[in-house]
Amino acid sequence: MDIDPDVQMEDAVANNASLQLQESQFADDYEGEMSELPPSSPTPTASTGEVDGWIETLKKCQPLTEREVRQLCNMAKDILQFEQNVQPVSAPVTICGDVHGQFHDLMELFRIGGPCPDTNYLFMGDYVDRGYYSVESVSFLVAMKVRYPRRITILRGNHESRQITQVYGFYDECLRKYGSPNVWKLFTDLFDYFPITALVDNKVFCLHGGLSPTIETIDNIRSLNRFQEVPHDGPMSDLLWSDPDERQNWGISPRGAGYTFGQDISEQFNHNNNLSLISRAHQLVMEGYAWSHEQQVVTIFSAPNYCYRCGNQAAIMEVDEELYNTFLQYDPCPRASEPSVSRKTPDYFL
Amino acid sequence: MSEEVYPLAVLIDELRDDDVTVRVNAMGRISTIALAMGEARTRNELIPFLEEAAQEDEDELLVVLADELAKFVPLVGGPEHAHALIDVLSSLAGCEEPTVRQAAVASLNDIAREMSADQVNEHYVPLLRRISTADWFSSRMSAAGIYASVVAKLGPNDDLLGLYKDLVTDDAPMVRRAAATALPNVIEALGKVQLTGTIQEMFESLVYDDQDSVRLLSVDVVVALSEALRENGKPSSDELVAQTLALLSDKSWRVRYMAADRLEQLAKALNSDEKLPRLVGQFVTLCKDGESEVRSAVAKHVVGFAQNLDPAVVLDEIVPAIEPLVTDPSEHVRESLAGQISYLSVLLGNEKTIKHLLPLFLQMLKDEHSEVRLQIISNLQVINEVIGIDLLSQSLLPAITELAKDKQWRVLLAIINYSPLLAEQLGVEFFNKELVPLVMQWLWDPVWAIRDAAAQNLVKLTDVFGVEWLETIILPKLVVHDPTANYLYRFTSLMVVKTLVPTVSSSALQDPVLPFLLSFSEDSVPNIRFNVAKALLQVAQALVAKNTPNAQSVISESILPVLEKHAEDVDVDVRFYVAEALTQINELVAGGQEMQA
Amino acid sequence: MDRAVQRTDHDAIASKLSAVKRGYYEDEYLELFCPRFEPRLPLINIGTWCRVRAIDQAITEFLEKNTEGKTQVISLGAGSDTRPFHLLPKHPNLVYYEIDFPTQVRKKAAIVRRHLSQKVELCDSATPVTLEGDINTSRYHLLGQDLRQLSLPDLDESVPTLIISECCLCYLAPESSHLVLEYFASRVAHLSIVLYEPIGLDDEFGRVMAENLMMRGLCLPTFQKFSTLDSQTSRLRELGLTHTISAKDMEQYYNDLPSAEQKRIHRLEFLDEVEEMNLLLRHYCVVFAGK
Repeated sequence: MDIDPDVQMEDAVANNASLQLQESQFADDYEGEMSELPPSSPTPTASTGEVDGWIETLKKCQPLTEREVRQLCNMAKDILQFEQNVQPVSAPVTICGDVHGQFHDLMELFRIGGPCPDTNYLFMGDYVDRGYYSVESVSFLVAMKVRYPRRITILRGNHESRQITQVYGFYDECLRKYGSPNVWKLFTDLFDYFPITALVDNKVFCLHGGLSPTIETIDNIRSLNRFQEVPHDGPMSDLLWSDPDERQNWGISPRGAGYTFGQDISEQFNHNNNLSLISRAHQLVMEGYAWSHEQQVVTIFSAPNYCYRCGNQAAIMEVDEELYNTFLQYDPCPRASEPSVSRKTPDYFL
Repeated sequence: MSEEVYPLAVLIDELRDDDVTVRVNAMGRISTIALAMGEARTRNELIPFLEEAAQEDEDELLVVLADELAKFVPLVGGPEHAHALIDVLSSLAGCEEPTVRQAAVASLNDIAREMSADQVNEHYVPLLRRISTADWFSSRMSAAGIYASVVAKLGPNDDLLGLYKDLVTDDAPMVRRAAATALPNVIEALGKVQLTGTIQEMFESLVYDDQDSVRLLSVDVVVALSEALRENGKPSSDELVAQTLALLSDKSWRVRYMAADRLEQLAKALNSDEKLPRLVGQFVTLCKDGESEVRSAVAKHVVGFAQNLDPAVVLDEIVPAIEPLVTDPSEHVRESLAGQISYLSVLLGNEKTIKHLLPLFLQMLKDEHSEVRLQIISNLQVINEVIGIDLLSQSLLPAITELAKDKQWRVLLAIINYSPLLAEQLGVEFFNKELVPLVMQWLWDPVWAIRDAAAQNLVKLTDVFGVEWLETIILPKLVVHDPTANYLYRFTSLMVVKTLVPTVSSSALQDPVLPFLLSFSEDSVPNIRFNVAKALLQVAQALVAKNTPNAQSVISESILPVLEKHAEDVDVDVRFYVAEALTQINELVAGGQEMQA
Repeated sequence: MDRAVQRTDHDAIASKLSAVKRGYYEDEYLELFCPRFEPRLPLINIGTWCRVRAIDQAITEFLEKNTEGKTQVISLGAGSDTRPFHLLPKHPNLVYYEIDFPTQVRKKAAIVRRHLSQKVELCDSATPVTLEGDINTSRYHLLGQDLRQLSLPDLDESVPTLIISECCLCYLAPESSHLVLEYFASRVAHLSIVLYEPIGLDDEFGRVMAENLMMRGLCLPTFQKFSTLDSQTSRLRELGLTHTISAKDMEQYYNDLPSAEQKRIHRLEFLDEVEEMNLLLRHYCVVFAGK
């Protein structure tokens, strides 16, 4: 595969050897509060009021300045580095799938599910690439994370990677909107800190892609070093790339990374880990959500009319305290004010 | 290298960069460089260099160059030197790529506007003569776009119009199209001046062109021509009317579409007693057109067209003609009509609307396509003003109740937004009986935006019916705390009551609102606890704002202890909003005490 | 509309160049026609490669079946296609026709004259240069014609002939496209046709596709009329091409590929969304039929 040699592939915190230790220390008493965290590194940050200002700017679909993005990413790093590979989340929470830079549809999502922080959200990755507003979408979600770290959880998707964003649009969009790859670098460095899975009330296991043949228990995930570019293979890559399949057992994925896994695998995993459900995103489903493996696995996809081409509905899943699920489906947000000529139509075979 | 030369050297390097984005960025900065170089060197060095650079490069870059050159008049030394820009721009105007040509033509027009008539005569007339007769059709196409600004400076000029006529009758259809596109501007530029025979001849040639793509452009020419005639106080000739009708019944649907899309302007332009009836006949025919695009265009302009007509004609001819469109097989046609049909009621008046239009409204309210329903709902007020609420409510209520179950949440939202108006007209008794169940049902919708709008709606309805209505009819249904209810139910009932805090009376605030809010203060979900904190702040503010005599004691006895207890809540956001509430309430209380002192 | 249709050639050739640059297949002549490399998304690369492969496969089958004596290939709306420059040197009995709008042909003819004259055995002294820019050699004919006024008086109607329409007839009104196919069906005895066309307007994806193409100024009149694989097959059958050699939507075509080929493709690029690709491929078909 083509890999741009100019792109730094080193792990984000490779030269911070103490961090592993810190993380395991904090894993135990994470339920203690943010204020108990060690003082953050002397990087530029912003006040709550400033972050609120950024959120207002972003709500209008206006990107932040490069300097603001730098501050934002520094603040996000300070929060995300202490989150766990399997980040614990409490119900009630609204679980969402791929967003892919469809900013107006992301705003529609909040109109359907309710504004954050009133509603708790768990996003399962793929904020960037494909849509026209990756910068605004990911900036908005990260700003919300910084402002309300306990109300919103943002996992890493396979598109939150240096390599994939160069093929699928985020890199080009940053270059176009900021005139340099700096903002792309800031965000892709930040992506290394995103947690890779979440566990809602110890019962609903949430992640972007799916299972891995190298992972039998949730504890296996806890021992991974996630602070790196998404590797080409291995457990971390599988969690972000795999798909459930009708065929039993493990299979080769047509995507070029991850695996396909059958109902036998899901059942075994849920049984071993005392789970009620695997909730994942990663695949376009026309109704916005789809059950598989006899309701052992659910796929949630939150980008309506994906790529302005697919004609699909989007969905989010509300999980209440009793872990009872409600799906809300929605269509693309009408964009009367946006002149249709301003956007390039998606590619077809002509 | 001297410092002076430096910018140009950098520009040259960047304009030769392999990466097109670097070249485009460099091109975007040429005006800065021109400023640094000064007028003479811009004319003598920069412009020739750009001319060379423009010989072959990406279209994207040439567009930027053409755009930038429009800003160059002051940079080359003002209008007397502006002709230095004409050569580059005219070669860009000969490009094959339309976006480059359009940018070059726009800049040439901008520059012509800044020049005096003499300068235009000296430099633009030879330019037009040259490119209007150029071999390459792109140049001739561009030429057509420049005439209007030259004619505007020089006034009517038979020579120029003769050249223009050659473009109108050019062998290449794309040149004829360009000439047809620009002709309305030329007509406008001629202003009050007599519209000479040449213009009429050009128009005739376009209307009867063998290419439909040319004929369809003559629709705008007919509009411009008849408007110019009207402004000059001249009637449209019979020929012009005949030509208009020819376009409206053209054999190509694209021409008919274009003509139908200009029906309003055509009707206005041809407004005279003996000519309009001929247009009406054509309108009726177009409503039955075989192409849905044409019918959709007719439907979109039905009101604009009809307002030029006698109401009797609207009733006898227009309404029967559009009736079949209400059930048109194309949803686009129905959608266009739905946006318009309500406004016809204004033209027809009460009685005729009831008799002839109401059945059509009702039919469209039941349309299977949600956009159609939404269009009708959004314009209900227009109908209401004409026929009055009694009739509207009688006939529309069943339809509205039906729509309240719509799965498109925006349709529901439109109805919610319309309900205060309905309330005003229906009166409280009727509303309580027929609509309150609906109003309450909306509060529990699965979609947050609907729940939120429904809560806000209670405030708006209170403006209509008064606080007593809110406190006797609505509030008792809301302040029922069921701790076993699920999270969304608890959260929603809290949020609705919180929305009503600024609206209810101070006695209702103290009971039942405050106890109801406090009953949530130990909820297991932090989102509920911090919204209790936000609501308690609002209660305190409302108590003070309403000059409640015992505000201080309620705040200190019922509100502050609960907030203070949660100052140490386990959740960071609860602590944040509690702290915020405490700070603001303390300020409020201190302010109140100062006032008393 | 004509202009928008002509622009589809650039889109097609740029997509092909992208697929070639990413290693899906080889074509050393493409860059002559598309000097600028605009990378496409992996799903477009895969779809483009499938399309090229499917048509190539039909041509190969046709040529292998007719090894004795002269054969003809006629490519409708050929645009900047490079197939004749690969095929003509390899098949001495092949005569290749390419037909497209005169403006397209002028551009292509200039490039062929400058760079590819050997491949098409074009020597300036022997070939009359027409005003339209057409090229007519003994084995290669590049003709600037509007398909709606098709006229090939010199066509040898007795030779086994393959008609290729690679996303071409879909831009014509159904009557016009029928007339084009009829033109050949009524004249050529030994006729095969391979069509690559969009299908499936009747679902959400198809509806969005028609809307998006409309925004580019493209309407697909035949898309409505021949919106299923069956209707495409039967339109050929009704013309007398009763022997359907293969008819697949492109998703099926892709799934039926040898697994070694699929494996090779999976290794070239990460595909981020399989269902999206399946949806897109499902909305195109390749139909190959003969008399």
